[in-house]
Amino acid sequence: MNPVLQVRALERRVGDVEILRRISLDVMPGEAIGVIGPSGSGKSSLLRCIAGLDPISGGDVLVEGRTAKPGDGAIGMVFQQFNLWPHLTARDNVALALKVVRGMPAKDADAKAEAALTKVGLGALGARKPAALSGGQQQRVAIARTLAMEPRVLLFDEPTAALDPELTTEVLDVIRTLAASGVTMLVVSHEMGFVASLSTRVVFLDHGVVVQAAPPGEVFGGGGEPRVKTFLKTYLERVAWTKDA
Amino acid sequence: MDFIAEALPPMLWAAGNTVWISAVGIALGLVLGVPIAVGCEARRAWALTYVSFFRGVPLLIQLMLAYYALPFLGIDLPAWFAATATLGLCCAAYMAEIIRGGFALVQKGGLEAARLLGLTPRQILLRIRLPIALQAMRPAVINEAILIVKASSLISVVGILELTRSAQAIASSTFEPLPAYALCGAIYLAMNLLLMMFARGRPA
Repeated sequence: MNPVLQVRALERRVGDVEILRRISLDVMPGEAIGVIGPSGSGKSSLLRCIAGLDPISGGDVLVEGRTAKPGDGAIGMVFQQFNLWPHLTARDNVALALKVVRGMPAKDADAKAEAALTKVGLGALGARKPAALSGGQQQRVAIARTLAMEPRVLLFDEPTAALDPELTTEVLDVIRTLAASGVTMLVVSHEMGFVASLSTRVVFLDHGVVVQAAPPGEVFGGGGEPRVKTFLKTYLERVAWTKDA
Repeated sequence: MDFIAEALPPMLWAAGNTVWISAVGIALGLVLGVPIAVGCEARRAWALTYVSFFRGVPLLIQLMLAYYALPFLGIDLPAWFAATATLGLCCAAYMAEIIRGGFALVQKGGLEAARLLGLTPRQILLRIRLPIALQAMRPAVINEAILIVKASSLISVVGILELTRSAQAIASSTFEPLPAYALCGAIYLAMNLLLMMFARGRPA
């Protein structure tokens, strides 16, 4: 089986600052890669370079062997801030690209949008504008919008960072269902429990370098690199909460 | 009552001039505001100078310059032309800033999402940037339109018989300034209330 996404010696520099240093990663169809690491380690930059939103200074990003360009439909991305279009209803947010990019007749596009919204549990809310939806619902609309275009690889850039724990759960459940149905994805997240349970592989980034790329059991099971262990220890100390503490 | 019966017809006729001169000024302002906004966004000296001049110099002085100073340079403009052009050029400076502000409110993230979904720059402009910006601009545009209707009272200085000037004429010929100006104010209020209703009548 060939990898659906190949990242080869990817580099990104801004001035003298090296944000990503020769990152290589092969993603097989159906894999869910969890990307973790401290803030400023290059996680979001990695996704943005893969998506083609940020220019790369060296290396290649190939989707099914071809160089991906923004908008060719190969890569879909879900953002931390949802990035919905506020003047359109949820349904129109999902249907717009189907109509104007894919040239789908309005009726078919709307039907497909409804189906995508139903898939993320929002079938009844298609007529609402983003402002009339909760953060979790908005993020699910954003996921539906990306899904409707049937990308080969789906990128999630801290999809729950702007949400409270309850809303986080509803979004994570949708991502989990997608992963279980075989959607190839890269997920940047600080929800370690989620990354551990979702991922087929976990990539730990620090200062633009892949420190460790291994199955979650290895990364989270204590067999990780020292830098990874330190990071996870700090994380666990923060989330561990007892009445006595 | 007699006063109203006598004064209302000529004042309404003059208000007609106020309406069309303001309308042309606002339309000119909107149309010229677009390239000026683009120029300002690109930090072009001509656009920045334009906005600084028309926002910085009182409209009354601009009208005087257009009507009384330009003839010295050999440019003799008819009064109605000098008035509508000055009103329009001044309005354009404010509209340019309103347009710039409207586009600045369009979130960059929404544009990135559109680009990634494959929309062309043209489609992004027409389907996303423009509708969001127009919605954001609407209150400020209506505000500016109301200001222009009121500012049009200044064009009486170049000799055009518009609402304010007709009130002045009626006040001085009847020696009844209070009802003349009260009626004049009521007509301005009615026109601007109509503008506001027009603005509110459309769903946001």
